[in-house]
Amino acid sequence: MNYIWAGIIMVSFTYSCTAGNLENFGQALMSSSQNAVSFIINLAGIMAMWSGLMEIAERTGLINRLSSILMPFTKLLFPGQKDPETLSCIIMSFMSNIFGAGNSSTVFALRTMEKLDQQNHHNPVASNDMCTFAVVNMAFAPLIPVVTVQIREELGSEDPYSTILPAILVCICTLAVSIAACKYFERRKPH
Amino acid sequence: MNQFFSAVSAGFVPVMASVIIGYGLFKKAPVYDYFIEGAKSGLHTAVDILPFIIGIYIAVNGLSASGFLDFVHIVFRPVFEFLGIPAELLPLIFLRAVSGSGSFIILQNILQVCGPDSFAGRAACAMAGGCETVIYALALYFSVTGVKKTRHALTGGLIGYFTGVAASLVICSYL
Repeated sequence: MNYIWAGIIMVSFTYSCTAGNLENFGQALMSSSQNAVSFIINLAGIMAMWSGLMEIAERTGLINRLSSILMPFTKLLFPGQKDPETLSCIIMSFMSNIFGAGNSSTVFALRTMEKLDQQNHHNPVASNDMCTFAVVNMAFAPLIPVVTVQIREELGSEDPYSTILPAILVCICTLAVSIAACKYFERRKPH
Repeated sequence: MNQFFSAVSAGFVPVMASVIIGYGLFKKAPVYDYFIEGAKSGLHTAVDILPFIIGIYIAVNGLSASGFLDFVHIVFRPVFEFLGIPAELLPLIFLRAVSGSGSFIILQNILQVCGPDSFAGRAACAMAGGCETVIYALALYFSVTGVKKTRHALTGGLIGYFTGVAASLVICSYL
């Protein structure tokens, strides 16, 4: 991560020098740190709301029920995962992705990663479940890509909704390949 | 059908919220107290990830502002023309992996230039809908963990990403 991060910034700096874009680059650095803070402020609200709701669901036993119902499905992806709280965060993250609640999905993804990290005893090497979760969660797409439909409508498309089916098919392909890739890597290099 | 999808999307958050609170009431739990406790820990997480988000944002936005994508465009254009892929899709294919909001600006450009119902336009929409911001999401996900070695998470994510790109092109040329 150290090298990737430094690499990206050094490449950008070098390129912007040669392209005479240094001013833009400098501005982007400043404005992006501001944007990051306003993004977090937005996310913090959603995060607090979901954490509050999940606390209710957890203490009233709703989470245990939900995860025991969905256990057969989650077992396929996360064979060793037994903790109901983690499982329900995983399920909520996938579901909010499908229903297009992108920020909610981020919240649940982060909660899931925190829980998986605890189970992994804060080990510096990622566990199988962490990798599988991250890869599969990224392969999920919203049923209705709201922004895309909106842009198509504005630009006078004949049928703004016509790309929804292709996008869902693409998502199915991506999911299948991602899961297969994860399972393959797990077998080839277990830990 | 489309209206049904939209209704389901719009209903997700309110339905989940009322089911959880309703179940709590049914169990006679102090739902409001629980909510406040949970919200507190949620805010903590938000503050914890802020430094990581700033780091990611700087790198990603700096890269796109430096104009480096123009360079990528020049290098890969011949390859794309050889494969018969519309070269207009190039910036989207590269930027989609790192930035969500940035890629929507590019999507809008593509649709304006090529038309929303052209092959390039539809493939671009499928990509924007079906591919996730892999690099950004991974950096964010692992920021809350103590992980230094992400093993196959990046490779797996990129495999999924490029499957999405390829599938968008293939599916849109048939549908």
